Amino acid sequence: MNTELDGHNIYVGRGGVDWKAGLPTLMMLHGAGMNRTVWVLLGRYFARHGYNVVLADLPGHGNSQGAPLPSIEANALWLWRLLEQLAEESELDLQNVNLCGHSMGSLIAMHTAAEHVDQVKRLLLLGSGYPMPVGQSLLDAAEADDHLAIDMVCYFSHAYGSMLGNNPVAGISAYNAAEILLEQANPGVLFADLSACNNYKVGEQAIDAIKDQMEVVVIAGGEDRMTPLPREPSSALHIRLNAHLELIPDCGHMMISERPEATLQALRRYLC
Amino acid sequence: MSKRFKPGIETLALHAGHQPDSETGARATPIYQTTSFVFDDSDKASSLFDVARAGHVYSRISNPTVAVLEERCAVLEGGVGAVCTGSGMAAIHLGITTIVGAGSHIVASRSLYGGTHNLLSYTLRRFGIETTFVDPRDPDAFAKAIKSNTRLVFAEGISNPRCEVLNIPAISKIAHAEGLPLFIDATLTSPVLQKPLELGADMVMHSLTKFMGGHGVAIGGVLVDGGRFDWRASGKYPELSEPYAGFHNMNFVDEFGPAAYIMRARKEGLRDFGAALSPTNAFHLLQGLETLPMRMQRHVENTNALAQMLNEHEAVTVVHHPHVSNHPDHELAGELLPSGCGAVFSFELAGGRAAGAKLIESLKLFSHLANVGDAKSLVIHPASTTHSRMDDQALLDAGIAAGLVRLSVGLEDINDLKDDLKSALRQAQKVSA
Repeated sequence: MNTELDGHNIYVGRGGVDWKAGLPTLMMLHGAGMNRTVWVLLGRYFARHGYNVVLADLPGHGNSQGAPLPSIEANALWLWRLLEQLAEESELDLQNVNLCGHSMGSLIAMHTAAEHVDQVKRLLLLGSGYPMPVGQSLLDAAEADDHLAIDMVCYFSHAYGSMLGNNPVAGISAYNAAEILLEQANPGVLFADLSACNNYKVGEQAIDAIKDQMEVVVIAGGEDRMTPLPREPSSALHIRLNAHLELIPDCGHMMISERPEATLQALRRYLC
Repeated sequence: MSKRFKPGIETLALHAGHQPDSETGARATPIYQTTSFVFDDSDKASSLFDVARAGHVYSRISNPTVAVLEERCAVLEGGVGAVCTGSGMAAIHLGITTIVGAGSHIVASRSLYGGTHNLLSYTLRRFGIETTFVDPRDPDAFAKAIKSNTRLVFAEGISNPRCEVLNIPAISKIAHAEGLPLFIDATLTSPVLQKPLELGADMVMHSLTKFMGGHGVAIGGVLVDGGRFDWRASGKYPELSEPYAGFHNMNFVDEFGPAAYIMRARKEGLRDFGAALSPTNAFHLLQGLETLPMRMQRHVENTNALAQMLNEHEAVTVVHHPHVSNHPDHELAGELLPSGCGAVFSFELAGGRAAGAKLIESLKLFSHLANVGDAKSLVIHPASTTHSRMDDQALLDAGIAAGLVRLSVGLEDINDLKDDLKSALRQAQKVSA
């Protein structure tokens, strides 16, 4: 479905099922340079298991118009305004919200949750960490819209085994799918997103606001090289958030496509 | 040395799409010779039918052994995904019918495999799909043939048997300017010699029976989706960009993004046309695919040596292979096929039809049969076999002379191949004399 926000057409997927009154909301947020289609299986699953699923393309991503927003905070603000608008237009429940985000989307979800602790009931962070620094060479390549940036993101986002394949979705190359999605992003989008991750500096306040106020789940790939679990346990996001940790072995940063079934099972333990 | 972000083609040909079996530790891809798969529970069952979880239901739609071959082909070609089929012709049919229906039009090269020519000229016409055939060496001819109801541009990357090299970058630009995808039959080159998707094509198919398998023991095909064509922006493909009542009212572009086309090909095409590849054939084809890069290198070395030898032979009037400097596409081939132009080519004898027949009968090492891309060297007379259903005008359009002989050069010792050909050429010259 399409809606208009700030004069721009915004695309919102629903996992193939119309929203119904009385169901909790599950907002799923994509990562840097990506779009809603990364959630296709999980979105369709939870749309059939008791949730009104919201798969929004962030501004300038996928089918949504506009320029990419410059910061995590701006994305979080936009996100809640979008949910408020959708709630006005439809049956969406804003008092029982589950926020699920991947990578950059996890920071947006975390910041949004901190701003709305009374309404967000559960926070699910995939491929996450705070801070989320981005290497200068990657930022430089992204700023130049050099394909090298896409190569680097794909390479460091996948476990070696996932690079070779064995995707449980028959016939689909998860690695190539990620590369093509990033290629399809408009110029400047990947740089804007990576910069937003790199420049997000108020995560500590968000963590303090969230901790013990809602159920939080961190889902991490055992071979994640983009947001690896820190060696010092006390600095790990799940420790700081007093969150559940779901570790998926033999999996990199792109757990949604690398290990869709393991990711589903991890989410189901909290959502079903 | 700059960082390499993907494994090399030799590594991918061996490993892509497969990890050692977690249950048994089997290193080779197991043959899952089963029609169907037990559901863990009713939730898994309904989720698989709803395309809400990954997994297999029924081997007509997907199968673990076949899926390894599909993913390997997708990775080798640089595509988002692939669907394997029971034959190369089934892959072409699937590639076309996923987006083309009655009342639509195709622009195709006139230099096509005879079976493809039949499909486009006669069979699809019965179902309301018309095709205009054009000179593959003339990009402007493709542009001029496009009509308002055109939905696809189709050609072979290098034609059989005259080795016309398609200017894929030029023709893809023409197709894309009209909002149309370019679909390439890449059977004769394999991804080792040319990756059409990198040159601008949108979909690729192979008869896996040929070089990809290489051993001549299993029939199969594959359709690979490049994932980069913008179906929504084109506005010509409601099959992909609007809800489909035949499958959960699914809008494939909205749900699957870059994988929209290949998902529809599987969810509709395999479901309804049913041209699935058997798991055992997929296993055989995987064995061949493992050595594809090394085989193609040897195929090219042997072919170039034979083409040169034939070009200098007094009994031969013309050699249709771009490696030969007087071939019309010699320069274009250097640009688009720098690692070689494959191992299927033809030549014409001074003695015409009778000399051609004598040559084939005199060959000892080359096998006279209707196939190409085998590890063993093959020979055939197209006018009486592969292209026999084409009328005289169509044959002429395809540039096939009555005395033309086609070779598919194998992996044998080059000296043995040269000796066999030289001996047969001497016999053919006696007929000419």
